[in-house]
Amino acid sequence: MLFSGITFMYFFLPFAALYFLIPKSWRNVFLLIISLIFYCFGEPVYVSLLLFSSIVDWIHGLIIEKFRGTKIAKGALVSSIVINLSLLGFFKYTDFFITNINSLFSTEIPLMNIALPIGISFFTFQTMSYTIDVYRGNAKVQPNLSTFMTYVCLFPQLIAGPIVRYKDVEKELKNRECRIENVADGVLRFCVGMGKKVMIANLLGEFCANFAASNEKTVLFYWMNVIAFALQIYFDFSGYSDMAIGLGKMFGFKFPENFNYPFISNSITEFWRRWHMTLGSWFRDYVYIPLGGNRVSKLKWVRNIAVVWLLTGFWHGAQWNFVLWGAMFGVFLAIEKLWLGSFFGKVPKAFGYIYTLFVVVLSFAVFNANGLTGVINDFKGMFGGLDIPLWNRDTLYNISSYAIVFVVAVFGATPLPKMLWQKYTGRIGFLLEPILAVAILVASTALIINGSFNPFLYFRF
Amino acid sequence: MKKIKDILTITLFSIVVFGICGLFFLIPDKEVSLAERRKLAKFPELTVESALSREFSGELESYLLDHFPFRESLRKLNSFGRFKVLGQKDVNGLWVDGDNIFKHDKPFDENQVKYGIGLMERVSSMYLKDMNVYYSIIPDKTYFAPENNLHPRLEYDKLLDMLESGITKAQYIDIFDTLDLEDYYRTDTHWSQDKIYPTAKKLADEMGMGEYLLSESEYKKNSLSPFYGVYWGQVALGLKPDELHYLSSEYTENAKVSGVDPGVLKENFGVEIDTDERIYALDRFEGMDGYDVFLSGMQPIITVECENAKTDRELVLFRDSFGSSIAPLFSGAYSKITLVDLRYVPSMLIGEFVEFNPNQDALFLYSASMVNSSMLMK
Repeated sequence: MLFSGITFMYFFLPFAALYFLIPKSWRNVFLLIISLIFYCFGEPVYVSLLLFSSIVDWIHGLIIEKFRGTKIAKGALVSSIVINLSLLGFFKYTDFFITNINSLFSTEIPLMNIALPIGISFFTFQTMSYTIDVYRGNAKVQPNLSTFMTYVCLFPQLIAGPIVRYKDVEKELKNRECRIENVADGVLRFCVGMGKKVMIANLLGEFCANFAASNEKTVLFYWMNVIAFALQIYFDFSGYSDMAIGLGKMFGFKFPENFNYPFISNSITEFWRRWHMTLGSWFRDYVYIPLGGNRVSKLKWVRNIAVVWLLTGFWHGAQWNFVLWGAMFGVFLAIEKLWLGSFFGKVPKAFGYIYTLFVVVLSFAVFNANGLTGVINDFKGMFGGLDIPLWNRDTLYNISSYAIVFVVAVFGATPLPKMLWQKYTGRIGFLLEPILAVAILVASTALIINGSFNPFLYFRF
Repeated sequence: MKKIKDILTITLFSIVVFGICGLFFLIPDKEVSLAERRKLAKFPELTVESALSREFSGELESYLLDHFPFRESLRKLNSFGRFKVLGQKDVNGLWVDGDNIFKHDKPFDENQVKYGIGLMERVSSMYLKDMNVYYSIIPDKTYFAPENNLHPRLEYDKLLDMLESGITKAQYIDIFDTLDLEDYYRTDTHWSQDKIYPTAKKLADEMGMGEYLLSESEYKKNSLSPFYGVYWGQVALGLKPDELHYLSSEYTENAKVSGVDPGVLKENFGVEIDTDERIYALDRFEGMDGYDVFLSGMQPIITVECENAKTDRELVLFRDSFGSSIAPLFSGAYSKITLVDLRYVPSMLIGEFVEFNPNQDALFLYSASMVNSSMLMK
């Protein structure tokens, strides 16, 4: 079930609203039940995996707590990590490894064609963060299974994040208020997210689909496609995060922010402090810092950067272009820390913005390509390595058809719309917001009706 | 102030979400969408298998999309938003100039055209050996669309050149100079029968039958309205509909129309179609497609016999839907017109349903887009 689908918006949500009529003591159980229904709708078979992962890590948490300070506790931690990574590895990476083994050793091991359970990359990371935090003493163990499962399975963030750590919602799981202001703020956030996803991301997706279907690609079309994709993935993912955060707020949870206008960054370092923030902080806290972070020798620090960014790339997909994507960021981050950072301190800020946008756009060309061969082909297309014209009628047609969408997307990727709205609409704007939000909901519904299935991009994770 | 805003937010949101949810249960399901020319999805069957395979969830979403309250209004909102607010040049491949709706041409596809040439040559070799064989291409409406835009267009030069060099067993009849934009419906892909007499005359002249054609003045012009062409519903802008025109004469009114037996159709072609006995099946105007008035719409093979025709010659017309509205204009000149639609009857089986003889003219008459998608024919 997708947030931006009719089933969710006009059937699941009204049903979920029963939450507000249920006694407080039953609300977690109700949330757990509807979250499992939500997940079952898209994954009727692998809901068992979700349950397994939850129960296993709940048990591991109890063991860690009971045997705190002993080798058994450490063993339980290791076991939790191994089980979670094994699940992720099996479902997501088996065929990747088989393909590479066949390539390297000329074997013919058949692919297993394992279906990827929706959201596995998110919920395994969430449950791992729980056991690690309990081990470290950063979170209290949750003795109640249903409460713990409510945390893991909570539908707003279950399938596509933000990656919520147990300690972020520990208090709210135990005691949360249902306030009108939270529900209203959640509704506004949800509607804005819906608009970002359906009205901007999906339309940019159409442009990218037109590019993919075109037999008359040009250099300009290649560039516009990668810019469209970069914006599409931003609005798609940040829109979905907004919907998740909004939904969480409606039910009394405060989820962490996941995006903070990444395209206004002045460096790649800053970009990753603004893009998919919960993933970045997860790798920082559970991989980079345990490896020593930057408090080690230079060589080890480079190793730490390499490990984190190769893993970040690999997390995004079981293909070499994702690994390359992660490695690319690792290289630029290292360069910035070693040299470029101080250089940008001495030149006008515009250089930093242009450099960052350029690197980010190129990175999404890598991200979006169909394997390494696709990366080479796409870069050739962008830099004139293919025998194609600079532009043609088909390219101009598509650009002119989506020009306003591009402008809205670029403008919307900055804090300007919010700033201008708050500055110039004043009190009237304050009251217009609800009307605008519902107008976005209706307009988004109209777009959904016209199209058909519009899956969220990060589903492949 | 914040409290008022919060209450307003929740109230408006609830009205929309709960309101739509409630309306789903209150408004009965429709069977078809006339605007979209298709049957609407039915509520999916929930079985263990469909649930486990995610089939149920996918079909449920399709069902809910199809029966969404105010669906047509929302589609209009979508089209208005895309065209007028976002300035998009097309919606679902359709674009508007004034009150004329056009559909994007598919890019020239050499393989498709090659296939079409092969098919026509094969049919000519198999069945049309001792006959006069002709072919003609109907330009699609976009051929005449205003030039001052970037909309994709079919490369007609390439298409016609390829046909000219590939077709050796049929003589080409150029009808491009007999047509103009005004000869086509504004909201439909087809031409309007009352405007294509010059086209019919040119074809008949080239086939040596021009003198036997009724003159234009001998026809009575009739109208049916409103005619919502195939593009009208797809573009969802609520544009002014067309009027469907048809030309009647003593020949059209007395002609005997027959199709293949429905049982045979189902057995051989897997289709269930019935055929009206009249050239103009006026009852079908209120159906899914008003254009079905012409020779009952989609028919694998249909014959029109005129007992008192001016000659005893026959015409075999290999056609697409455009053929349905031009064929009646040949009635009176030909004693029998057999229309064959190769999309529904494989070329290898035509001989079982159609008798060929040297007293016949054969004409392959296809729209450019049909030739460019020839693999739809068998």
